[in-house]
Amino acid sequence: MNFGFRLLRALISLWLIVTLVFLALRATGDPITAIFDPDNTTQAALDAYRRQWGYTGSVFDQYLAYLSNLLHGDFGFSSMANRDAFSVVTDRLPATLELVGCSALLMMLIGIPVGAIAAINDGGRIDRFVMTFSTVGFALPNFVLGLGLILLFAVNLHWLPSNGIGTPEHLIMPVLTIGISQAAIFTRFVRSSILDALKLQCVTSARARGISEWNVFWFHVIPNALLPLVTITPLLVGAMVAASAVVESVFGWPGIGRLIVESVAQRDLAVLQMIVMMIAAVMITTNLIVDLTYSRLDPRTSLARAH
Amino acid sequence: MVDTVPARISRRRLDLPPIGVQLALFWLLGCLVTIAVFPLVSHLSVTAIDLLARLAPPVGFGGGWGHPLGTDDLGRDVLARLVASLRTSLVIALGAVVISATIGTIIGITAAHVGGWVDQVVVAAVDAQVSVPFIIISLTLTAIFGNSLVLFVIVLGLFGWERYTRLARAMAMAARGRGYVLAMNTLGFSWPRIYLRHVLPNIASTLLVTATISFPEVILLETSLSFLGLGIQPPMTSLGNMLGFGRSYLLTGWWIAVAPGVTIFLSALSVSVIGDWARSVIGRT
Amino acid sequence: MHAAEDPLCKVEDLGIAINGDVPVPIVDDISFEIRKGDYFALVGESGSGKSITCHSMMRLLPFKPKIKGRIAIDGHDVWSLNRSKLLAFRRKSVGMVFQDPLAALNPVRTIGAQMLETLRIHFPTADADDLRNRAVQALREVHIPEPGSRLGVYPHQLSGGLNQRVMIALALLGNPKLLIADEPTTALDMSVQAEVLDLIDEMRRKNDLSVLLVTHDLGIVRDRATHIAVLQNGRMVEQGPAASVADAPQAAYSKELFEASSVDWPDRDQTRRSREPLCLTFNMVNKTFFASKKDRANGVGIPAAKNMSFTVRRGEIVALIGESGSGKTTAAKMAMDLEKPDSGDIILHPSPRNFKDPLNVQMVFQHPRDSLDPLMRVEDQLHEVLSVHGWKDRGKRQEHILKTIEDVGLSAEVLARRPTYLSGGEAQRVVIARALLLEPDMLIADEPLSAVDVRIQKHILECLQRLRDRLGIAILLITHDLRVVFEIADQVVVLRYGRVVEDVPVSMFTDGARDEYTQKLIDAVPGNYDKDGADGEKNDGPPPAKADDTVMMRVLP
Repeated sequence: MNFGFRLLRALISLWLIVTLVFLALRATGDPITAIFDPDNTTQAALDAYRRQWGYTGSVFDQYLAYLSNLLHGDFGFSSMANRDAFSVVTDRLPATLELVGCSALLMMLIGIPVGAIAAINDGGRIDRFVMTFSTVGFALPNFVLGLGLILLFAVNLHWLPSNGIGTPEHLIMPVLTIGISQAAIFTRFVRSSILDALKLQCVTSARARGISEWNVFWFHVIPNALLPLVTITPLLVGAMVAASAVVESVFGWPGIGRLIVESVAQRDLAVLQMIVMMIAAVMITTNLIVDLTYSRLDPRTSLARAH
Repeated sequence: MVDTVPARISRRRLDLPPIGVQLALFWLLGCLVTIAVFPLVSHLSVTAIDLLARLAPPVGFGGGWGHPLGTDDLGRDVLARLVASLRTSLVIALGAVVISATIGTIIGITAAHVGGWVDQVVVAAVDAQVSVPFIIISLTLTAIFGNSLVLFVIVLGLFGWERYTRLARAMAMAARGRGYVLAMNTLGFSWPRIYLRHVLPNIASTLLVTATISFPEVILLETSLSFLGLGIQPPMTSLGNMLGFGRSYLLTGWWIAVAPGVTIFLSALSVSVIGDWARSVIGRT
Repeated sequence: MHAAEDPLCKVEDLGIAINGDVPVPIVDDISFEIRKGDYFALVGESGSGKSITCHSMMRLLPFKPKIKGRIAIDGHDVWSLNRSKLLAFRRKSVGMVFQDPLAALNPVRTIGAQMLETLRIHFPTADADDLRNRAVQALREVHIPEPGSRLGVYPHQLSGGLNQRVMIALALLGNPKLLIADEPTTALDMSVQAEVLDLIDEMRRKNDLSVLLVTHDLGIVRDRATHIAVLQNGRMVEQGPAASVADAPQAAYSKELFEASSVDWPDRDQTRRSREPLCLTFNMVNKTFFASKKDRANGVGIPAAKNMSFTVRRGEIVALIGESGSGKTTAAKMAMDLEKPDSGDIILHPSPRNFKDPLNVQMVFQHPRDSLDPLMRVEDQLHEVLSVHGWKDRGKRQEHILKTIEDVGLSAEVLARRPTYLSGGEAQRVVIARALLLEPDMLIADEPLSAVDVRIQKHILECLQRLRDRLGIAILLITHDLRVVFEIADQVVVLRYGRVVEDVPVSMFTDGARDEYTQKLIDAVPGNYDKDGADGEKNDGPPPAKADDTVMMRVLP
C-alpha cells in the first residue's frame, strides 16, 4: 500500500465525516432556526440567510452548497460571537496549540525516562514506585488535579494566577495538569514497550555476542520498542484533545477546548461543526502520518515476501 | 514442545491480596455501605436550604458536627449531597458499563461469526471510534440532541463499546480458528450451543476485566461532563456537578469542591487497583 | 590425545534457582566436562532444564538466579567475571546459536548491519570496506548463496534455514572455542535440519571447535555427538560417551527415552494394499490459495493441491507426509469439508459397517487443549457430545464413556478433571476419545503428536494402532515426522507443494523410494547417519526389512 492509496483513504474518511456532520445538523431540524432565534429575526432576514447559506432547495442542493462553502473556508455564522465561525475558531487555535504543545513536551520529558528506568528495573523498587505513580495519576481526573493545584498555588500560596492567559506563570499550572495527567498513562506505555523489547530473543542473542549493554539498549531494544509506541500516538493525541476540553475550562484558558464547551452550552452549531471537522482532520492526518512512519520503521510491513 | 507435566498441578489456594488492594476494597465497601445506610440513619437532607448556615466549614476547620463536611453556598449539607452524588455516579457508571459491554460483545461475536463484509464494517467502525476521543462525541451529541438524562446515559453507555467488540471478536475468532469451536462444530454441535455454552463462559473473565478497567473511566467521563455542566443537571446531583459548582467557591468554601474531588479520586483509584489485581490473579490461574 | 590438558569447559555441582521469597529450583547438582574437540549433547524433554543450563553458561539467564556450584570455560570462572571481563568472554571464548533464528535476529535491522556490528567489536581498526569483505566472507563460509546481496536484506526475507546459517556465522565471528547450540533445528523443516547440523559439523572440523548441543531430539545425538548427558527434571540422570549412552543406556529414564525415539524400520511385510473397502477418495483435487485479488487475476498463487489423488481404506493407517507448505493440512480440511476444492472429487464412501449410512468421520487436532473447552470437566464434555447426538440415557452414556476412555489407554480419573489439569498426552487422548464416542469409521489426525514429548508420542501412537487393530478404524494421519510413519503407517503418501510425489505401502517406501525428494526426506531422518563412515558419507538408505533383523534395526546401520 503506497502513499497515494493511503492519502486517498484519508481524504475519503474526511469527506465521510463532513457528510456525517451535515446530516447530523439536518437532524436537529431547521438549522437556521437553531442558529437564529426565530422570534427576533424577521422572516425576510431568515429567508435571506437561508439563501446565503444554501439552505434552500433539495437536501442534495443544500449538500452541494454546504461543501462548496466549506471549500471556500466558510463554515457558517457563529451565533454567540456574531461573526463567521472560521475566524472565531482560528482566533482561539494558537492558545490551544501552545497548551497542548507544552503539555506533550512535559509528558514525554517525564514519561520516556521514567518508563525506561522502570522497564530496566522490572520488578524492583523503582519499578513498583513508578507503577504506583502511574495508577494514581490515571485515577486522578485532570480537572481534580487542576483544581487541587489552583487551591494550593493560587488560593493558598498566591504564587500563580488561577485564570486566564498572558504570562508564563499562567501557562505553568495548565501545562502541569495535562502533562502530569497524560504522563501517567504514557509512562505505562513506554514501560511496557521497552519491557517487551527487552524480552526479545534478539536482545539475548546480541548480548551473547558480547555487545555492550549500552549498545544493546540503543540498537536493539529501542528500535523494537519504538514500533508499538508509534502506533499509540493517535490515542495520545486524542487524549490531549479531550483533556484540553476540560482543563481549559478549569483554568479559563481561551482555547479551542473551552470553545467547544461554550458552543455546546450555547448551541452554536456553526462553531461546533467546524471544531468537530477540524479535530477529525487532525486525527485522520495523525493516523496517516503514523501509518507511513510505521511502515518506514518496520521493514516487515512494507516489503513483500521472503526470497 | 509442550509437556509431560500437566499445565497445573492443583488449584492454588488464594493468597490474601496485598495491602493496597485491601484498602481499595475497604473504601469501596465503605462507599456502598454508606450509600445504602446513610438515608436511613441520618437526618441530614440533600436539598434543605438553610441560608443562615451558608458556607459553613467542615468539622475540624471551624465547623460543627451538625454539618460534618460543611455546607455549600445555599446552606445545603455537603455530606448528604456527597452521598447522594456518589450513588448517582456509581449507578450511572455501572449501568453504562453493562450497556456497553453487552452491546460491544454481541457486535463482536456476530462480526466474528458472520465474517465477510459485516466483519469489515465492524472493524472499520471500531477503528473509527478508536481514533476519536469520546468526549468530543458526547459533547457533539449533547449539543445536537440536548441535555436529557436518558440521552446522557445512552451516550455513556456507548463509551468503550469498541473495546468489548475488539476483544469479543478476537476471542471468538481465536476460538473458531484452531480450537474447540471448530472441533465442536465438527462434532455436530449447533452454533447457539457452541457460543452460549462454551465460547461466552470462556471469554467472560476477560470481558469482566475490561469492564473493571472501563468502570473508572466511565466515572471520570461522567464527572468530567457534569463538571462542565453538560452531564447531570440540577436538581440531580453528581460528583461532577458538585465539583463544578464548587469551582467558584475555592476561596470561600473549598470543601464544596474538595469533598467530591477526593471521593472521585479514591473511588476511581480503588476500582483500578482492584481491577489490576483481579487481572493478575486471573492471569495466574 | 587431550587427556592431559584441562577440559575446555568444566561444570561442577551447578544449581540454579529462581530468586524469590521461595526460591524455585530449576536445576540441581549438574556436573559435566567438555574437552577440546568434543561434541557434547545435552538431552532431555521439555522442562528438564537443559536450556536454562546452557544459557547459564554464558550468564544469559532471563531472571536473577541463585547460583550454586561453578562454571569454568576457557579458564574463566563465568559467574565471578566482572562486566568487562564478561563481555570479553562472550566475545572471544564462546558463541551461541538459538532455537528460532528469525526471533534471534533483530527484525528491524539488516543482516549486514548486524554482522558489521559484531565485526566492529572484533576488528575495531578496520575500515568499512574491510569489514564488509569480512562479512561477505563469513556468509560464504556458511554456504549462503550470493552472500554479497544478502547484506542489505532483512531477516524476515530469508528462510529459516538461511537465517540459522547467518546466526552460526555471527556466533563464529569471534573465533570462539566453544559453540553452544540451543535446539538449533527444532524450528526448521526436517530436510533443512540435516543441512544445518551438517554445517555445524563442518564448522567444528574447520575451526577446531567444541560443540555443546542442547536438544530433545535423540536421533540427532546418536548420529553426531561424542558425548551425551541426559537431564530429567533438572537433574543429570546419566552421561558418558555417545555410543554407550545411546546404545546401552543404564538409567531407567534414559532407556525409556532412547527406546521411544528409536527409529524402527517397519517390518510389515505387505507389498500390496489390502482389498478392504474404501473410505475416502481424493481424485484429481486442485486448490490454490491466492494472496490477493490481483494475484488471483494473474494466476500467481500458492498451490495447496495439484491433481492430488489418494485413497484411504478401512482398517489402514495412511500417513500424509510433507513439510510445511506441502498442502497436507489443506487436504485434511478438505476431507472434513472445512474447505472446498477448486476442482476434482473428494468422495466419502458409504460406511463400511453397513454400506448404508454415510461415512462417520471425526477429526483430531494438533493442539489438544485448544480442542477442549477449558472450563468444563472432561466428563461433562464427553456427555455433552453424546447427548447432542441423541443419547438420552445418562447411564448408557456413562458406560460408553468409560469404555472409550479405556480404549485410548486412559484411566477413569481423568474424567473429573478440567483440561488445564491434564498433561499434553492425556489431553490428546481425551480428544481422541471424544472423537471415538461417535464410533467413527475414519479418523483424521492432523499432526496429533507435534505438541507432545517423545515418550507420550509413543503412547498416542500405540493408541492409534489399537484403534486400527481392534476397531478397524481407518486413520488418515497428517504429519511431517517420518519416524511416526515408520512406526505405525501402512500406506505412505508424500506431498510436495500440493502434488502427490509418492503413494506406496510403507515397506516399499523404505526399500527403495523412487522419488529423489522422498529419498531426501528419508536421509534427513536422524538415525540415518553413519558416523563411522569415512568422511561422513551417507549410506544409500536403510537396509531392507528382514524378519530376523528386527533387533539389529534398532541400532543404526
